[in-house]
Amino acid sequence: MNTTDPRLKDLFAERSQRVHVVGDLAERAIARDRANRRREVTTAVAVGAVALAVAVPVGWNATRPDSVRPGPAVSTSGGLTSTEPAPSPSQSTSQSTTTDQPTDRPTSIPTITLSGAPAAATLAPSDDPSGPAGDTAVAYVIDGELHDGLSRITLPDALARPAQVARLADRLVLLVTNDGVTVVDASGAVLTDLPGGRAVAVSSDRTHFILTGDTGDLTYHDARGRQLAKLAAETCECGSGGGAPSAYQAAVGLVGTTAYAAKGYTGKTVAWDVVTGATKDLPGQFRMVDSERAVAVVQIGGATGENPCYDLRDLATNARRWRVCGPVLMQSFSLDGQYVVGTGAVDGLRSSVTYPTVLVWRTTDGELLLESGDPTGPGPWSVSARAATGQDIAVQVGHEDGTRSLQRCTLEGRCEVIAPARPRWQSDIPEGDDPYILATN
Amino acid sequence: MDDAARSADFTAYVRAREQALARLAYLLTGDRDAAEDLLQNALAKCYRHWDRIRAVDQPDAYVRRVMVNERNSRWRSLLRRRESAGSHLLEVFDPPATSVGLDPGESLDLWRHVQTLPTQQRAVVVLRFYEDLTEAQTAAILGCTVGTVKSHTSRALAAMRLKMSEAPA
Repeated sequence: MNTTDPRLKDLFAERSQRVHVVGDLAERAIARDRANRRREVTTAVAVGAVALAVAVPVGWNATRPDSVRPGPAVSTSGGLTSTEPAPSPSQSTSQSTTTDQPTDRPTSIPTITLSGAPAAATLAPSDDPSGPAGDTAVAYVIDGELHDGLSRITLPDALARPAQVARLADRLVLLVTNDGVTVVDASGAVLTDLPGGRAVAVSSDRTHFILTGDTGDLTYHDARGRQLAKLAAETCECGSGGGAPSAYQAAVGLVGTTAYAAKGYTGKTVAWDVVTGATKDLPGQFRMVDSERAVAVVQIGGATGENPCYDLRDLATNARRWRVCGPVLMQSFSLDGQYVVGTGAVDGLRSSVTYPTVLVWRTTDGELLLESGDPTGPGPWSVSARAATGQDIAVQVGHEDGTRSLQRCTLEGRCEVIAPARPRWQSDIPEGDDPYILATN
Repeated sequence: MDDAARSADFTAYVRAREQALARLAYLLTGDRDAAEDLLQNALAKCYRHWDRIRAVDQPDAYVRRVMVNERNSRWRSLLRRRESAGSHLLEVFDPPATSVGLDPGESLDLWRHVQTLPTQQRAVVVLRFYEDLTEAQTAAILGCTVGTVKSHTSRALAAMRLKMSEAPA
């Protein structure tokens, strides 16, 4: 007879009796859920559409563009050695109107890129406590105050911890919270409340923005928040039978009078002329657009656990300039449009994309220029980032004591502290919100 | 159910079940901080879907499943390595509050061996021998087959027996 069973029972009984709850578990759980929700506001599209699966540590350096560069796209796979499974049929058909066929192939070349350029630099966040020094052109909120160069705007208490912040024309500021979207002026006074609004994209001249909300409508506003046009959720025709309702899920960008938004989770994007009301469906899920260059980063696949691919597409022709595939999430263009900033996923859980590392690609050819080191290794690590230029990449850096500093980093990986280390909000839980909120524009 | 009612209902459930859930978390992790983090995060996820969970017959089963899944999350373990919770919601008293059949040395040895079990095997033995769940119930929580539960149980017990037999007298 096996004697381990009763001994195990005794062991578990004895050990379990040592454990006692001495605090308010329910309160902490609710607080953590709220923190998670705030975080998800800024990554709604990512969490909804991307499930990434790779082992730790990640070799992001292996994700190389598959393209002809520079210039307009033509089909090429370049004879690259695939390290990823072939795309599913649904991936391939999702971009049937592009001028080329998908070749979802990151290469596995650890030190030299396809173009012969040097390998990506590794980000080296500073652990120097003597800062801060210098500044960044990336606006950010800290302690309820918007820092925009030398300008400071004190935000109302209820808006002191927005999930997303964006600059608008005339020194107006757009803030996204769990409750919706709010526009405040340079004194911090509320101009407009748009309850239920969540995903927002601002035009490059900052005079207009679009948003999607709880109802799934897509609306177009001027900088003061006045609604100028609306595309009703029903026109999306993207609900699933008996399941998700028809809804525009994410406002992606504005180029002139054309607004781009994700069509539910169909993997398609609508192009909406806000003046005429005309719409056109585009293949792939647009992640972001750059109006100056009239290009978009389009996500292909990734909805069912496979690694996604990202195309840089010409908005006028829909032609692909390059493609990068791998366990990554492209998130924003730099303010000067020269770079694409994103994150690498750490393991197979969707939640890992909400704890970003930092990756920077060159817009013209998709070459990876900068990457984080192993995020699980010793020393400070990158938490979130926005780039103004290649010499001004604002990176929120995590430190061993749980604090976050803001640092300005370069494409060479050098970093200097520009704003001091601060504790996370709710620092008693790992998911506590980060103190610095970097503006999206 | 509005937010206030949902919060009150969830709070009532947690307060009624918190000792049992905390003990399960501790047995799954073997560490106070890890147990606290596991329990907080699992409960946060449950709170998100509380309207649905409270409607089922046995919320405990759902909560256990979330806890086991969270325990298996590689990302969570990495994150925890970086940022342990600074809160103090659980206390682990030593010596044991109640004396049971094992002598202290044997108990410590066996506990150490439990720590070395792979995550899934450990979850199986905790659910089977602490929670007294059937193989079918354990399989449902783990999202695997009964055969897999049997296999995990057999391997875990074999490993434990081997280690206990190797331990110096």
